[in-house]
Order: sequence, then structure tokens, then C-alpha cells
Amino acid sequence: MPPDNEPDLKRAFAELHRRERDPAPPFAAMRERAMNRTAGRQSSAATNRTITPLLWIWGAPAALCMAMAILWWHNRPPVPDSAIAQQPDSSQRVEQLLTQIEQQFKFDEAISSSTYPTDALLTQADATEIP
Amino acid sequence: MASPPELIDQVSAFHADAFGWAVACSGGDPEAAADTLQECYVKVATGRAAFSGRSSLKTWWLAVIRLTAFEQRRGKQRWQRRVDAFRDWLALFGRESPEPPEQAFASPDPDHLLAALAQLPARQAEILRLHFQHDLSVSEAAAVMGVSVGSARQHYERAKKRLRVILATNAQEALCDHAS
Repeated sequence: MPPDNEPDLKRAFAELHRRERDPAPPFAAMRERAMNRTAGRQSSAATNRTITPLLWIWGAPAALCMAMAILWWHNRPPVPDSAIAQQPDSSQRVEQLLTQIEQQFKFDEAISSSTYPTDALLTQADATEIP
Repeated sequence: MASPPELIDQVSAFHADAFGWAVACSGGDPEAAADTLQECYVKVATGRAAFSGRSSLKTWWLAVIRLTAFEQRRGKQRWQRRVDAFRDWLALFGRESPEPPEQAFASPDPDHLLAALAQLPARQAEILRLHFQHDLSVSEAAAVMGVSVGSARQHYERAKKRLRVILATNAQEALCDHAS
């Protein structure tokens, strides 16, 4: 290996280096962008610091409740067919209710039209009235 | 320890050199290099990259750029990295390169040098660039590359020898093309 080969290699690398570093974008612009992006990241980090505990406090229990509700819904005991069959039709049920209400009205009228034992006294008082 | 804005101002002394190194680490793509360097400044500004003083500032900064370029290329060229690693391994444990012919010592122009560097395994090209372009010693280059000094020295010796062979071969091919 000749001893004087490295200066040539060094010269070639120096030329390559000059060519590669020449189109470097200006430092000031890159610095400013970096600082702006840092500010953006810091504000988003602050937002995350606020939101994350809230998510844990409210979100996690809510998610747990939803999961339990879904589990219950899927595993709830089936309603027997006989029970469904025994359920009266809604119109029939309305009819029954109306009938009951009418009967209740009749009963109330019967009570209001009845005579009380003291009514006799009122009649006697009318009869013994002195002219 | 310097605050992030102070550290950015300190590394600004190497801005152009750093860009050149970012170009080398980004596969010769200046746009990717600009993105890499921008991300490095963001890392410093956010404190994700902090200078501890264990090495020189320039060595540390070149290592940050190398790592960031590596992170940005990760995923895109995973298979390419494996090929490079395999080539490195072959170069490290494979046969010795033959002695280069005399024509290899003619001063190559940057285009030929770039073409020859592209034919080298990644680590060999890196160590040559760090040594010849950035004036780092082999041990400093080892720190930038994250390898042991012994391994770096081996890469360096083999890289120099292989580069000369490639340059000579390319020069001979160019002569043949010119003659024909």
C-alpha cells in the first residue's frame, strides 16, 4: 500500500463533503421550526396531562359498567314461552281495566244513594214541626 | 448541563457538517436529510436528546443524527438493513480483499467516490465518511456508530482496502467503455 494514497482519498472525501454540505437549509429556520414544534408538543402534553386522569376517573368505570351491562344482557335467563303465552293481549287488558273502572263507578253510586240511619230523625223532625 | 436552547446554539456550529452527515445517513436524499436534521433539533429542544459530556459535542451530535436517520428509515427498509448487516458480517469474517492495483490510488472525483461508497457495506462507508469527511479518529467514529473500537478499526481497514479495489475496478471499466 503506497503511503501517499490517503491525501488523495482525503481530497476526494473533502470534495464530496463540500458538495453534500453546500445545500444545507438555513439553521435559523430549522431552529425556529424546532422551537415551534416543541411548543406545540408541550401544549399537547399539557392537554394530555389534564385529560388522561379524567379518562381514568370517569371513562374506566363507565367502560366497566357498559361491559357488565353487556355481559348481563347476553347471559340473562330466557323468558319461558308459557309465560309469554299467558300474558293477555293488550286490548283485552284494556277492556278488563275499563270494566273494572265501570264496576267501581257503580259501586260508588250505590254507596252515595243509600240512606243513613240518621235520615229517619230528619224526617221525624219535619213531622213534629209546630205550625 | 446546557439548556435545550443553549445546546441547539452550540450544535449550530456543526450545522453544515451535520447536514452532510444526515445526507450520508439518509441514503443521499437531501430532503430526507433535512427532515432528519429537523427532527434532531426537535429532539434537542424537547430534551429527548441531552448532551451528557461523555464524548465531544460533535461526536454526540453525529451519533444523534445517525440514530434519528436510522429511526426514520426503520420500517421502510427493514429488509435492506438485514442485507446490509449480512454484507457487513461477510465483509468482517469473509475473505481478505486482494491487494488493490496501482490505478486505485489516482485521486477519484466525488461522483466516482460516491458510487464506490454505495458499493461498500453500510458500516464501512460510515466509518470512512466519519474519518475522512468529519476528521474523527477511529475510536470517535466507533462511539458514533455504537460499535467497539476493535470492530471499528477492522471495518476501517477493510473499508479502505475495499474502496480502493472498487475505485480501481470502476476506473478500469470506465477506461474500457471510453476505449470502445
